[in-house]
Amino acid sequence: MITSILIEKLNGHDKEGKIGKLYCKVGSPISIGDVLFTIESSKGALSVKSLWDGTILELSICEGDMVTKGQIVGNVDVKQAEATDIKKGYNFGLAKPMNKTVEVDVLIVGGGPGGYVAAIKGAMEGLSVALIEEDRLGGTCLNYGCIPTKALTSSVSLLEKIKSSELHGIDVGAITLNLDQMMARKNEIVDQLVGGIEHLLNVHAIEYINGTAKLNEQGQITVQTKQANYNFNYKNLILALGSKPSFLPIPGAELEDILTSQDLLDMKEIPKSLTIIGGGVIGMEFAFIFRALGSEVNVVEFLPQILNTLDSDIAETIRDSATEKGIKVFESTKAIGIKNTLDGSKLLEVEINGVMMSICSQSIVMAVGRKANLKSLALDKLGVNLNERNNGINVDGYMRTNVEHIYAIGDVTNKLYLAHVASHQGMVAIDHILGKDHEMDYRFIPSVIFTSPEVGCVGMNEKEAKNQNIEIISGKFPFVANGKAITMGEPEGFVKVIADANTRVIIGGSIVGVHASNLISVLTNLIVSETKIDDAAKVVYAHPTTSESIHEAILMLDKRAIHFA
Amino acid sequence: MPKKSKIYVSTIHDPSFNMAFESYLLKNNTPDTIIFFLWQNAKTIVIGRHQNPYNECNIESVKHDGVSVVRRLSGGGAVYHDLGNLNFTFIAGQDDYNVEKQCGVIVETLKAFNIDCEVSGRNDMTIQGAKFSGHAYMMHDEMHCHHGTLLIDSDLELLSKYLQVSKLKLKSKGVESVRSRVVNLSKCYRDSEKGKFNVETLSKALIETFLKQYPWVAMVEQVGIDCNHLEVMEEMKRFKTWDWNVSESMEFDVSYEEKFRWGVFDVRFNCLDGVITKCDLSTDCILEEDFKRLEMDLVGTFFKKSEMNKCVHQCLNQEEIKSDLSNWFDRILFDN
Repeated sequence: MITSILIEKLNGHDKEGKIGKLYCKVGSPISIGDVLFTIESSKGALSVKSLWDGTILELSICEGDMVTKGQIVGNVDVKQAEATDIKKGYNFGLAKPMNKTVEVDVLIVGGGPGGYVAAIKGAMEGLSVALIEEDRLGGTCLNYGCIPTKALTSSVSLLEKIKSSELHGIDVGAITLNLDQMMARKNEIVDQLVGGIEHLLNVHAIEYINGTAKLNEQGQITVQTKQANYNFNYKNLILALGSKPSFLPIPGAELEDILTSQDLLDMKEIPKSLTIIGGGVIGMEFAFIFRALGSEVNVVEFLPQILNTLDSDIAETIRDSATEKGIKVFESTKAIGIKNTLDGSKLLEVEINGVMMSICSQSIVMAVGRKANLKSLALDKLGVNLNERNNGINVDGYMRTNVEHIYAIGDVTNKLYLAHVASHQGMVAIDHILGKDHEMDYRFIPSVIFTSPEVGCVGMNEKEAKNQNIEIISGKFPFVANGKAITMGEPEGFVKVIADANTRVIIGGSIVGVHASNLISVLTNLIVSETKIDDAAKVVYAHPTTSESIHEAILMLDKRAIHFA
Repeated sequence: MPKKSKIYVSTIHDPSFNMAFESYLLKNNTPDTIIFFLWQNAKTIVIGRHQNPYNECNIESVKHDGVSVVRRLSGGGAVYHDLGNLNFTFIAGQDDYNVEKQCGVIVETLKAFNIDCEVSGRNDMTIQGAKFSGHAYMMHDEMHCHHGTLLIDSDLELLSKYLQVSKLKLKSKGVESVRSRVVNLSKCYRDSEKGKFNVETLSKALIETFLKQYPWVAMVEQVGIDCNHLEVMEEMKRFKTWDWNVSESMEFDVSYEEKFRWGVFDVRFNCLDGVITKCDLSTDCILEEDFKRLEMDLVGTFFKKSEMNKCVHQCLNQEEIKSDLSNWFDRILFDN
């Protein structure tokens, strides 16, 4: 049997260590308990011992090399243990997993931003908590969504800045792109944050099991890992099962090399051309990233407007910016099918105004939204009901399912596919377990989009007000009239504030432009505290900042902005 | 099962004994017990597990003054011990091992003496930025050890003299020390109801605080020369050998340039496991000597005076050169 030598632990919570003395080399015979090498990190030294009798086949480390926790550093050809050896009690490396029963107040399935936040909050409140995650902690958001894309967004925005450096009188010479390094930086950021969550779980003494939750015959939740077969006795169960990318059921969608957003995060080279099916948040963010990296990018959106839930003036700003950067945006365009071409490219057949056309590109990405992970656990065995449209677990305002003591939170509830919604739902569920009255309120949830420029929205927008027949007034202030935005060379976009025409209470707002993702919090606070226009107008904003645009937009509700005429 | 604490105070000042005893405790402790061990060493440079003595101290003055140089089992950088310094050790299993709480025992005790200190990011302890306590860690299977120094009234002049690295051109794969500004605790002590402040009163106070923070079944024991535990005696041998203290260093590369009456002697050694694996030798000596043969013969010998002298005597003829080189080796090499 051949087995790997794994760096299982390091000093404290360290992620990285330095190989000290090597006591073995390829070909060395080793016995159980022999010290193979030592590792040092943060002033702590430890010896890595052999768990096997056998011979070293491969060894990829030298003295002084840096290694990370979980890294495989070599292979051992293990001599099959003889029966007599096992009796000695030296069989821990080869032993069968033991059975372990975990008894907790709360069992959480899924370690994304819903599950892990619920776990920490629960433990803080004195509940005993166990958390099961089959992939990596942090879920889609941290590993395949928000965080890695923002790492890339940050890289390409630096790239764009460098490209405009001449304007500032700075000559940087020729620019070369190293995609490997860009991706490595992104991965390091993700690792750092995943490690952070692991640390928090440790601090709060949460039992974390890295494995796949399954329901056995008796309807019990079990997990099998290399170390143990777990089964769980719990007072409360929180299902935080997450979601995965959807696929359009069109011919060719099943082709192996049709990419998803997750694949785009691990590209080894920049595609010459890329067609993105879906002009929603994910599609548009990637369109800007890959365009900045040099791809020819097409975006195909079935609806008449990209980012369809946004007001048309916001979407228009993004569309104009995209077009100006060379992204080709096709709205009201239906994807019909995908075919391979002879030269290895992909052909997307589309229908525009009843006319069939095709778009040729090196790669095609499906970014047509996400769907709840309803099949990852046999929900019917638990007796948990789905909603009317069968696309999410049915929950009430306290995140309760129809089964007592079973809660569901996050994407699997198919409410809003947002990390911060999942986290808040997690806190609501824990509060309900503790008997506190805290109901989920979806009215004032901000959302942000990291296109270039950024977008932030909260509360009611003009579209929704019109649908609900609410009489509103809007105040709009363009960043081109804001001193700070001009100095930064980012005058695109505007702030729009919406108030109820009768009560004069501020009920919504959208921002497109520089700092939009941060500025939206200012509006969120005003809206949640039901501030009236006249009170909101009294707040002083520091000069020179982009936040002054919010003040001006509030003044614009009564057509009284100072710096706009 | 009730938890236990064991407190040991060593009255022996031999570094190899104290380190062997500590290692014995680490290997033999049980998960239900936390150990607190206080000890002192006479003049000693203690280097980290992955350090190179050639890179950590002033070899000539250390050799001249008879200071011991010992490699410890934990990581981190080099420190100087003398009888103005008190060492502490915590040993506990996974469940009770808590560096923060352990540091708290020291911080609380010093507070009782009206000394306010800070615990820095690397778990060193400082007073207004000057370090008086350096910490390091090690593990044996599932047992953890956290130990460190407490400068009470050490000879700081000697400390900086011995830790002042000789001007060597040395490249090593090991771990480097971080130089810090240091301070003695006695310098920071102003009167308190505790009365006198010295190694003895601090030791007593540390034990009091420890017992308060770990209110378990406790046992206090003094360890003296009557300790002739076989396992400890066996372990002690290790800390006295050249093999452990010097040749256990990771691969390193060192160059010397020495002027003698007969010429400039330029030599570079690459050493692994204490053995010279590469040697580049050049000299402007015009006397008829086979330096090329010396260069070849040195490869494969231990980086050690006695062995290298043998080569010199086999390869060279002139008495002056032989004795110069031999004296020079004596100054620059650790031999035992």
